[in-house]
Amino acid sequence: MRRRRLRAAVALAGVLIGAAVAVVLVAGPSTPSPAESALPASPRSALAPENVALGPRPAAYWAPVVADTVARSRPSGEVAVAAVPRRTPEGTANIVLILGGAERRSGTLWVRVRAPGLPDDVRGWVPRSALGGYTAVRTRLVVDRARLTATLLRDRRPLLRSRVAVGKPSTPTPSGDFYVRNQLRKYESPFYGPVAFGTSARSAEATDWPAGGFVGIHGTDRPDLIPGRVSAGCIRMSNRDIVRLARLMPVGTPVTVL
Amino acid sequence: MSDLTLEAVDRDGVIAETFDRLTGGTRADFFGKAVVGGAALAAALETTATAQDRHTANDIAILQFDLGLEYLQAAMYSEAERLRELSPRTLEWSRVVGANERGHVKAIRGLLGRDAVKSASFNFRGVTEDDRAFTETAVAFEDLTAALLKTQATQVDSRRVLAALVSLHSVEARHAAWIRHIAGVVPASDAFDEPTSKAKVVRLVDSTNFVTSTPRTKGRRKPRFTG
Amino acid sequence: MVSETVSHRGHSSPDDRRSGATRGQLLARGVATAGALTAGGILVGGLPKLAASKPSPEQDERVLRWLLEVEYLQAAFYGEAERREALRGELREFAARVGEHERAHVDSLEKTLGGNVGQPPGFDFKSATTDPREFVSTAVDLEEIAVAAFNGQVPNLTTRRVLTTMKIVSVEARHVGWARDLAERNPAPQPADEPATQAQTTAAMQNTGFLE
Repeated sequence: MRRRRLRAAVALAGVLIGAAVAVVLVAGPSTPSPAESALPASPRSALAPENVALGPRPAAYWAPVVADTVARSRPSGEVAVAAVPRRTPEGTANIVLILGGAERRSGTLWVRVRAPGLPDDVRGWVPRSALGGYTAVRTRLVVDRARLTATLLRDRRPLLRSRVAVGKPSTPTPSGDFYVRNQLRKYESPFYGPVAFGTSARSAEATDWPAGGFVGIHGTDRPDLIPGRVSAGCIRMSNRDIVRLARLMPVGTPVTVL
Repeated sequence: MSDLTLEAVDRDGVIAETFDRLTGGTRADFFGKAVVGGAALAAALETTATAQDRHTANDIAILQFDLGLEYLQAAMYSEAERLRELSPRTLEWSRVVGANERGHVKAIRGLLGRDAVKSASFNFRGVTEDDRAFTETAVAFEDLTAALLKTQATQVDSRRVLAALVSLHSVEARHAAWIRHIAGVVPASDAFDEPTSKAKVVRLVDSTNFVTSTPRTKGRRKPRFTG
Repeated sequence: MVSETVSHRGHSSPDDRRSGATRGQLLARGVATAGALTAGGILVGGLPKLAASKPSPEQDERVLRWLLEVEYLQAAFYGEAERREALRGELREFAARVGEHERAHVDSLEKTLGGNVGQPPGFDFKSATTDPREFVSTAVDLEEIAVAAFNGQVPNLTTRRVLTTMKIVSVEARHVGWARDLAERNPAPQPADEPATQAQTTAAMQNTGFLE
């Protein structure tokens, strides 16, 4: 019987099934397997995948606003804490930071976000359907008004350091937690240098500014004023530094101003 | 400065191009890990991928399509794991399944080398933040991927690529059964699982509206910041 | 060129993958002395080189006959479990449903072979078909054997037979996911399932102790 011949052909015992690793055995040349039942092994797979764990926790998640909405103090609540429009004054997609928190009310999913506010970003709930897809960022920018420096971190490690000019005493750069909302370039304005970032930060002194008094991070045609406290709230760095920053700092990056 | 990543110094992308060619890897993989110098560089050059093998155009197309689907699954599980809005039980299986799906992405990208397509952008529309929706969607996509791989198995030219698809296919079926079991649904209802067509996959993916365009966060208007 | 033997992890993987071992590393470790037991417990060497040979209808038939052997073992196991009526609750449902599938697989393969099949072999399952814990762990083992056996042979088949076998192994993989969850083991410990050679499957089936 074929079975008995196979068993005889199996030289050693010791195949463990269950918790242990199975041991491979094949007949030695003395008792060849019957030719008609010897099947070939399959071709070697072109892939050898391994599990991939998630990388380090991102610094933040952001999402674009796809429909004009209002952030409320509670999911489906009555108290509005901020308008959250679809567009920024610069015509780009408005974005919010995702804080975590998801609640269903009457079939609608609400999520907790951070949006521009005064004097600081506001926290509130918006319908999930008002937002687009979530994107993770690994970077964070820390602006130190005392030291007049800006440090870009990625996965908590410093990537770039730069001297900056910040708001003068009568128009200070606000302190707090904000985030980068957009990036502008090719607009030809030496005052702002080659690249400018819009943030969620607003100057309390400049709320009547045409575009709402948002604080930007940008280049300058007055590098001689860096470092210094000279601006109307914006954070200025040299054109060389702002270009470097533009290559490394994606939109959505949280900005902490100390 | 010693911890500077390659991306920071590689101004014109020349270094990255060179390594892409040598490793069949992707810039993103490389920039994620490589520190200029020594052992890390050598490690980055090692690859188990057979990117040097010539694939037929047919097989490349099949693998690219698979990669698109694996990107979607991996992104969904990764986002769920990161956001932590789902129940601990769900997060538990999501972590294991996600690690497998991310493994699939990495392996297929390695195999395709320069022919690897980029991932789409996704809006999961709350599915990664709601237990029931997440579980249902996960099952649907595991079933779908297993079904697609059956069809593709009959279409590939290379038997080594076939062996690869076969090895992934049974894992997707394990996932499907597992998730169903947890959800209280019969893990295996029929004796034979049916294949599905690429067209049906496209229709199902479209119906989720998960694939989204990248938001326009860059502009050219003159800034009107406070200054 | 190393021989085509591959790691047999498809049979019954430990729930945690051995740290860092890729297929390449396992093979490299294995090509040592004939009959040597490596640190990982793998006996490699002294193996005939089994090159993957081209698909053909004649080979298809041999492959399907072989896979039928695997299905016979499973069908008999679940069939006996059902007949002996010792299982309760979900295990009972599992035996009934999975058994139905395996019988359908047997029918399908027998039909493809034109009914030209011998008698199914006899098996002695002892308490594996009545004791709940043994039942579940045996189910895991048998389903893992099936997945690895099928995965090992699909690439050897002609295109005509690839689809049918994929349709079957897909369900075997669902069975194994279900059974492993019942056994409170990780249903999908690896991103890719390893194929088994005929010899590996034979050895695993032998070792169940069920073959008469």
